[in-house]
Amino acid sequence: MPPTTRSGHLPQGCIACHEPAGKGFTDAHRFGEILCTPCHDGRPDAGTKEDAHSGLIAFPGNLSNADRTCGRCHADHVKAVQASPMATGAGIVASTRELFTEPPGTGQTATLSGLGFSPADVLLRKLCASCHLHQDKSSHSLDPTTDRGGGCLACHINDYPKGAHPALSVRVSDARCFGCHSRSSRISLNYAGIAEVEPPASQRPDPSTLGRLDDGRLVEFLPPDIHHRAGMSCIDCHTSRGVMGMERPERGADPGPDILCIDCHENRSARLELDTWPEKLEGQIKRIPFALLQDQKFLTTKRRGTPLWHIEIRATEKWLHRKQDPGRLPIPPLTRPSHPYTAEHGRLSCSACHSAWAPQCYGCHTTYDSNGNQWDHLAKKTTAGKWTEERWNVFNGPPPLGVTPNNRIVPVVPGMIMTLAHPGLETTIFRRRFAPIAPHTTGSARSCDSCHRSSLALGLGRGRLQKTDGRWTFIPALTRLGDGLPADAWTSLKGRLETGSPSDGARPFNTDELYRILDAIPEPNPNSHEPVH
Amino acid sequence: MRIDMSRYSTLAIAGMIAVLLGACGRGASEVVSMSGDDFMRVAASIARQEDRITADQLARWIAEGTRDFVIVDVRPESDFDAGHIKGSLNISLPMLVADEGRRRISASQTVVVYSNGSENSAKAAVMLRLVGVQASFLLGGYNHWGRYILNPKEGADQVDGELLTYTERRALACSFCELEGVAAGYRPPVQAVETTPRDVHQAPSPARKQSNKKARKAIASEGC
Repeated sequence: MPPTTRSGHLPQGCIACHEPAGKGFTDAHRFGEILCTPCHDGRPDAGTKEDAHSGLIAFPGNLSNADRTCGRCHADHVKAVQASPMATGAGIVASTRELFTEPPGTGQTATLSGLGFSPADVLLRKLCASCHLHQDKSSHSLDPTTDRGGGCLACHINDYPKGAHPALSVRVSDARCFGCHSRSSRISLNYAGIAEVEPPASQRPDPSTLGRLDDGRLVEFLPPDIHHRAGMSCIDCHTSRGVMGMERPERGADPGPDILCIDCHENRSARLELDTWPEKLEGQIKRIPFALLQDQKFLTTKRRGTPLWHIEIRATEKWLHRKQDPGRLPIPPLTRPSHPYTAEHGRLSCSACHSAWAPQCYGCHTTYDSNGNQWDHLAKKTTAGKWTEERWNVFNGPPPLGVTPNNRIVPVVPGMIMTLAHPGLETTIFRRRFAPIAPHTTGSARSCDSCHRSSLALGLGRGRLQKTDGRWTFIPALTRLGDGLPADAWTSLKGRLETGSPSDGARPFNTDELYRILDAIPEPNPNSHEPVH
Repeated sequence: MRIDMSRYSTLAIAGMIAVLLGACGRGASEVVSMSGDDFMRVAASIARQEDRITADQLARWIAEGTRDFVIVDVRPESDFDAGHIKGSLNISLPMLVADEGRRRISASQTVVVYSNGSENSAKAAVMLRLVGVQASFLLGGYNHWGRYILNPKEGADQVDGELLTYTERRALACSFCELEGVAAGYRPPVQAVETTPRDVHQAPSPARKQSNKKARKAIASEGC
């Protein structure tokens, strides 16, 4: 029987039965001010539970529902998210098919939602497609390690108290990012100073340096990113425009994240005033967390002109107001005294010098068992065929460097140095791929020697680099693989490029660049060599 | 400045230490139980300036997560409550070498002592060294720490290669923002490692139960 109010008036519609569910709402979707039906549909005027629940949408955030739920008010956001890399997975689809020399596909067939059943597509179905916003959720949980998918609600539920409605928030917690971004380049792990290690590492003498994630991965503790130490969360840098794929850069422009280091740290960053605020983002103005000056100016991102409303500019200071927790942080300016040799280092990205470490995996074998069975993340059932990945030679340390198509020097990591076996392939495929990465392990700049005298940094792999009688030689620490390069190399002193062309177009240093880097500092240390791990 | 330790007599050093320890209530009998070699060793380490640490050094240790030292604030409790260096213990000067105070400090750890300036903490470092604790005092104390590390100002020192540049200090200051309620960012739950390692080379493909009832027993794999 529906509950009555104190006045004896019978509540109408959904709240006749769901009054207790009034708990848990945040101000943006306050219970009672917004009806249930815009998000959940159903028939609030029905006489029975069955009729009332006819057409009910239990999970409005799933992208299969979002056009008629979240999209009623947030149409631009939903449209952008549905086409964003987090939803389409177009990047991993293209790179995986390229590995198998399969055609890249177009339109829907170039996305995770449009996967077929080729060897590459089945691998994606079995091992990769869980990190995919189009994956529908059928239950809510807030497990940071295993949560995947769910469309809008993959990110926008930070709290789900027992017996209450999930609390929706634009202040997306880092825990919501962790489920997907603790894999592949492992950004969420790196940022928190956690790095995966191979299981035998637990035999190290000091187990206090090791731990295990809830999903069983063995990890070690390394220096966290300096922004993490300052309590900054992902959304303090990554704008909603950038994450949701709104206001895409013009064709041909760098499609990377909205935010760049220089947006905050560079002294000549763009400025914006309230009267020139982008109309679509005017809602941000009421969230500005500090008292405004009469002619208050704001920083904007260079790539998309997004206002950085949480950064307070004063005469000689810039402060970042954290979005998750209270408190403001001084923003150190990029100064010329602290960045000498700007002409010589003009091609370096900030992360090339300031990335303390990056996770690197130098051995991988991926094999298919046609007699096995495995969960298909798209079909949501167990199907025939099983892909298995094995890895070895994991190393967490200063990353190698490479060159992007726009001629910037950036950190790179082995995307895969792998052998690939499938009954449909005539022979086992060998692939050597390195990929640019922003490791999110920001710290003090690396030393001169760590680039100019490091064979690993130069893409040669670990080993002994020495100059004898005016000639540079390199003795690799690891054995050479089928393509003639050492197991952890991307190039050689002869400037040999990897076989095939990586989809992102990045390349290792060429011969001219290698020798210029080596000869840029005068005295080589005869004992300099990379530690062998 | 180089100091010739042979010019110091054991007796003179013992007398100096007796004064110091007497000031914090320790019995003179314990002073005389120490050997002249102990005094000479401590005096030599002081002469080599091993008993002090700069704000730069300490800030780097803290920011880099070095764990083999403990910081002791010897100022009054009211000063400590008003602001202190991240992670420090508040142990007053008289309590420092008393049993109660000593119990809070592990003998295997280096101790960094600070007061408002340098004087009291320098005395404290000497006292601790005499009872066998590897102790150093913070040059300039908390007053200097507040000016130099927490609230760095641009100045002539930024061109001195021996000191942290202004930019680096500004970045380091981010590590000490607890005064504004700043804590480190989100960390996922990490469990202690069991003593028996799972010595397998399988890629990290955690077996994960599906929430779907029909597939409750199905195991999903995930790639690297």
